[in-house]
Amino acid sequence: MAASVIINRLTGAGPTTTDITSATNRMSTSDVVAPGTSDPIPIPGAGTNYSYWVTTRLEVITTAPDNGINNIKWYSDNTGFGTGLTCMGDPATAYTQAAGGGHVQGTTGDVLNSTNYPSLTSASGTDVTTYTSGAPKSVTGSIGASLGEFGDRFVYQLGVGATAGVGTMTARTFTWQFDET
Amino acid sequence: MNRKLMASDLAFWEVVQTDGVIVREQDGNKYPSIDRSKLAKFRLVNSTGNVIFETWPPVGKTGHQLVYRRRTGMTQSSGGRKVIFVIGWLMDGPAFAININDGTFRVLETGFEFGDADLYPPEPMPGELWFDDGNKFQDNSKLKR
Repeated sequence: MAASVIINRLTGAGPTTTDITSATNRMSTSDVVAPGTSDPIPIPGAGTNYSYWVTTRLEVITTAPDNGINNIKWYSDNTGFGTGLTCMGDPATAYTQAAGGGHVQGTTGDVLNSTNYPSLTSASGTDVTTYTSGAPKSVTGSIGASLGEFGDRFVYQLGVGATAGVGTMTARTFTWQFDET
Repeated sequence: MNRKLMASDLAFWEVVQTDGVIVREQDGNKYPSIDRSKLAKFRLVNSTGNVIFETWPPVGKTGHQLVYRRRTGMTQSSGGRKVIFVIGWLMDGPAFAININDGTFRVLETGFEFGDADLYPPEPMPGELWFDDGNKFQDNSKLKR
């Protein structure tokens, strides 16, 4: 029997893990798992405002793999986010709670980089649209025949520039992929 | 968690040994315990017991070179899943991608290939002899880049 695997979003100081496998997952300027349309990212007059970063991770629940899971990949749908919008992301080996630093919730999050998120595996993330099914990002980690969270996290953040348009953007597709025996 | 059941969730492997014994995953056998020295055929079997795919060691290869994976893609937020069975022979193929949910099948005669969306190389699993102490394929250079 195939293992039962879910995608979690990590929020709060704990962190709290919430299954988002089948739930709408938005980026906002708050550290809330389901913000709805609250705390949108304001379009700046100049420069860039950022969403709070979103940290996601896989977990085996209920049914463990017979042998194990490895070879984890992450990729986007290779579709741009639109004028003035850039989504940057990369794996991270640990969790850092999303925050707005000296700013207030509802304005901008801290920029995703290895200073603000020390375990990020790159200096400042990568445009996630470059990770495609043919060129996915490898995510380190594996799990044996057991239950629990596994592998590195994948963290991403939306940057909104002055040329962005107002409104809710079209949904994008992010995919986790892994091998099981 | 509500998960839509798919045909792939009810498919299993079975091994036909050279001595005629059939070893089935449904009987609780684990992939690492396959006696690869006796592997004559490797099969995928569906929920009704019908063989839907069968392969055997190509000329010059043995059961030790078999690789099998249940390769799952999960789409965040939509709950969508894509499951393909990846079966191949190290190092130079063939490699097969079998999607029993939509009835599609692909083969790369030259084996796993970096950059292929379905048949990119696996990572070592217990029971396979193709990795060294560093947990890497012994001859990764032979995998096509």
